[in-house]
Amino acid sequence: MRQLQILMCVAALAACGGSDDTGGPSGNNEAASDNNSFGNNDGAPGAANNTTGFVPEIEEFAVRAVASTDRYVFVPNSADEGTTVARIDGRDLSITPIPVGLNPGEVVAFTNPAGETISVVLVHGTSVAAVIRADANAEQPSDLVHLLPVPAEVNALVASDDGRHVFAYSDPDQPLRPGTSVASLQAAALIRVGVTPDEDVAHELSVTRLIRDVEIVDEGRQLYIVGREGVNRIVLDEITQGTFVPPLDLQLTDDVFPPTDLEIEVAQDGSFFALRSSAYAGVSLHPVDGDTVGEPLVIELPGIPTDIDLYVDGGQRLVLATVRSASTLMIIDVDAAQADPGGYMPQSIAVDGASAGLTQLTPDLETALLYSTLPILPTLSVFDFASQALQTHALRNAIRSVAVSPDSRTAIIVHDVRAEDASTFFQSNHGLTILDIPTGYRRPLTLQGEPIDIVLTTPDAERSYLFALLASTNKAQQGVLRVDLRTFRSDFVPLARDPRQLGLVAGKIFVAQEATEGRITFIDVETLSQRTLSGYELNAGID
Amino acid sequence: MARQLLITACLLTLLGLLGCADERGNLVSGDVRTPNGSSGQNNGNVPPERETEFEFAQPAVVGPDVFVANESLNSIAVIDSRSLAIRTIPVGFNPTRVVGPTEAAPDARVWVLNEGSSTVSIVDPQTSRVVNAKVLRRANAIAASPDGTWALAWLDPAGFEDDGASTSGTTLDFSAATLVFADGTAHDLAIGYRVERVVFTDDRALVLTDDGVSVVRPAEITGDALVPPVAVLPAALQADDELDREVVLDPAGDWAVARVRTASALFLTELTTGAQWAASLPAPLSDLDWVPGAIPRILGIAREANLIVLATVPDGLIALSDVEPTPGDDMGADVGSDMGPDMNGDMSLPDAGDIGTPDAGDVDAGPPPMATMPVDGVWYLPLDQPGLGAAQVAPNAANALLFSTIGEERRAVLLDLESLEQRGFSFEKGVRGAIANDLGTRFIVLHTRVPGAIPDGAAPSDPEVIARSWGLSIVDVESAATRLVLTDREPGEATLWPGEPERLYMIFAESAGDGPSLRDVLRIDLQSFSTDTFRVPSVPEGIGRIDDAGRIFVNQRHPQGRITFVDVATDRRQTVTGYQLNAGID
Repeated sequence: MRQLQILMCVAALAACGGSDDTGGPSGNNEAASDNNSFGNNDGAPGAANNTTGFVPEIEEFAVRAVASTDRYVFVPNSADEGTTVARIDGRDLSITPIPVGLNPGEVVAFTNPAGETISVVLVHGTSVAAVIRADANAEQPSDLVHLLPVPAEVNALVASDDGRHVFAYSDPDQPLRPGTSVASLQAAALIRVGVTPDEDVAHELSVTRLIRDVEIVDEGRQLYIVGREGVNRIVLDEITQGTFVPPLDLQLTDDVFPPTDLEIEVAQDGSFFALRSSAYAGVSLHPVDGDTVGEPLVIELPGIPTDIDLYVDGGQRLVLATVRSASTLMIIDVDAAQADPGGYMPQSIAVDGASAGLTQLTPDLETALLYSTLPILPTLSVFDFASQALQTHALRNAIRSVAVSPDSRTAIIVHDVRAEDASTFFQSNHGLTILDIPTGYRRPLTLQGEPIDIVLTTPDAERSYLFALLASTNKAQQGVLRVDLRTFRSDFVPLARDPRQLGLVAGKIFVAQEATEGRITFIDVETLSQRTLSGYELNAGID
Repeated sequence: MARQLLITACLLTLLGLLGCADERGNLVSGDVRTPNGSSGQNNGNVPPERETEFEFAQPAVVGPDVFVANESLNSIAVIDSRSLAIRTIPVGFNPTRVVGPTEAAPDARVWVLNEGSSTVSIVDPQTSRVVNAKVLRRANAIAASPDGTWALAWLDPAGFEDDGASTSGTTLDFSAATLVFADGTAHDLAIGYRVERVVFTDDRALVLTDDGVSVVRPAEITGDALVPPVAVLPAALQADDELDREVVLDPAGDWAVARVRTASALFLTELTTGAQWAASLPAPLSDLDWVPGAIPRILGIAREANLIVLATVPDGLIALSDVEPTPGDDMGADVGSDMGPDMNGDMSLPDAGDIGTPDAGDVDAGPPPMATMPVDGVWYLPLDQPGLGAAQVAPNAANALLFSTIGEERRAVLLDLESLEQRGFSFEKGVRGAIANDLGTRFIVLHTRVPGAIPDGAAPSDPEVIARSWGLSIVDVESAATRLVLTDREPGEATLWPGEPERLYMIFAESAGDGPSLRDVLRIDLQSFSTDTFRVPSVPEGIGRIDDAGRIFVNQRHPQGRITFVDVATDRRQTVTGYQLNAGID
């Protein structure tokens, strides 16, 4: 399961448009008639399974990195001949266009170990990464920039939490740039951000192609990449030159753990990772010790797991596996399993009545949300670990993704639009359901635009808000939706220009919009008052 | 395997599927084209393995100097790749091909074939002095010995363009070659019909023809001479035009090993005596490769039997020839016979003796009857990935890549030629052919392509993007992992820079019209697998490397001549334009 990132009280969801995977399989229709019945095709314990008919859970969104820090927002000029990135100071709304080169694209921003604000921008026109030291003293904005060559194919960025590395890779869902005569989907680059620009360096890497997951763990020391050929593991500090990175030898049989169908979850401390596939009723645990990946420990389960999650509770390293076909959650104590590989039995929790294809733990680890993305009339169940109680709540439309507020009180369910299966008004439109977890109260919200970004913010203990960026071909229906997660009141702020990106900076919501000359609107979280900056690519002005 | 091996001075130039040579310029392995240009086997409805051939043309290189033909000016240009100084040397009429030594030699010459005057101009690269020699009329192919002290010129039907008028009343002699020495002495040689390939050893040339191998020993030739071919197949098989014959030659020049698609056998021929052995196999081979080493071996793939065959040369094959074929082994041959050649001086084919005629139409594809019969120097290995029928051996003989060119097959196997361990893996596209780098640490694999345009706006995750692109993969032998490189044009000639950094440079074929990307040159770092391109001013026609100057050159199509030099260490590029008239450096 791809988890929603919740960082610094901010969670951003980006809906990436329709997906054949979620809407297509006939299994969806079957599931619609019986929310808890997925047939008996999810395998028997242990052995490899006939995967014909196995329908994977697809939670269909990607988290879009918001290029902002506590203070700055970085917005690339998306005009055809654009050459700048606008640095916007969220405190005073001052804007500085920083020249980086033709066609700036993807941006990440973070704070490095020295406390400096760093932004890294992919510049497609010149195939470079621009490292911007936003806080540095400079006579000219261009003096803030250090350019590093990167492969022309890269179009996605992931920054490590420690602010020392940025991984640039080729997102297979993004079209290649027009006029590309030679391309390798395995081209990637590791950008190491130094203390000074002289220490910045980019090393070209060759990794797995058709990348579907990237994780940086171990406080920024280890990078995991999952793609067509399997799993790459890179110890970031060991990269000192251009390198070919072969896939890990997982010591598993491709028949049951095919590289093309692996889900990997890596422990945040980098001490192990867990694998599942759609062809095996079990999970594989792989210890990591320094540079060495140890022999796998395969744990049999009562069916093919449809989701795995890792968490630490009371010092215990745990794997939570969701077995849809058995309506069971399996909890694996990693240390106990490694201590007694032959005799260890994972804890089994029956969740009969739940539609348990995916599981999401609340941040307080006290409850688990169980749901499936397959039925058009799904349920969402709340399992309380302490009381072992299961509450199941019916929903009005298929689930596209689920997020939980940082205080573990509220779940936000983003619904899918499956026109071919829709039979109600709610199912025919974009929508959200806000679930109050303690009481089970659900508020369905029909949306006139498609939610393309979602931000959760909790300014203080008493206030918590959801902001959703809605896109629509009808300009009257595009804008920002705010939901007060205490009162569930909703408000809508229309935007005249096509919204592109939503984020949070200096306590304000910002919305970047489509405009050649640059346009960004700041929205006060409490009052919804707006200030729009436009023309900053020419001469900045405040409307 | 239908691989063609080419030899240049320390210059391994890839022609898509090209070949490799050792430093002496000795051919280390090679395949034969049948009269229809195909290779492999065809039993029943299974098509033979086919690998694409690529055009090859490049200037000769001696030290830092590149020798380029000026066809329209009846001269050659000599370009110093370091200073870019150019000098012009007049040669004969319509010079078309220039070849040079492939190893450092004090008396080496550069050889210019002048098709318009049927002469060869022999150029001393040190003094620019030229000696001309008459060669076979309408000769259109030339190959020089590795030390550049002698050469052979012949008429290649594959490159022959019949203009009608000039051939009237004359003979097109496809059974002859001209031996030319550095002093201009030339002798006409009668050889086998239709030259397939010329391979040089230390002191001789092996001229592989449809009739067999004519062994040219220049030290023994003092005038026009008859050099009868040594048959590499039994007489009955020689006459069959549909054999899909494949021949590999011993780099030392002592042995030839041949297969045909219709017989479950290998034919070993001692080139010095003409002695021949027929070694019975469980099934016909779909590919055959030479495995160099202290004890050389041959590697055969029996696709329909899913079998790998390894045998030492000559002992393993001779021992195998002593084994009686079991029933069902449809050889039909009297194996074990020493078929002495008919060396009576005429041009007739060797006497096949009592070898009999293999039955071409009935191949037993059942369980290998001989797999359980131990024979010294012979190994039978079941193929881990059934259905693969082609192989490519790395120059260091450490590994072989097994694949298939049939039906968009994507599976492949890396075979460790020491431990005989097989590692399976897959490509993203079908395979046309492969070549390894000198160290044997990488294979470069050329892929097939599904016809049709890529849908507008399609992302790489759309399978059509990969399927409809041209492409090549680099295989890391250690990990069996690959890097796929997609291109919008068909890969063309390439050259390998073997030093640090080890790189592959490739230009593209003009298969899909013009456009700026036709001028792109692909550069692949074989250590990091990184790829990028640079664009040259005109359409590239050839590419090669100049070791002494640390540069790659890209010869381009231009009315006044244009060549770009690329410094491998710095990537700095310099282009010389107009060397056919008055040179200028861009």
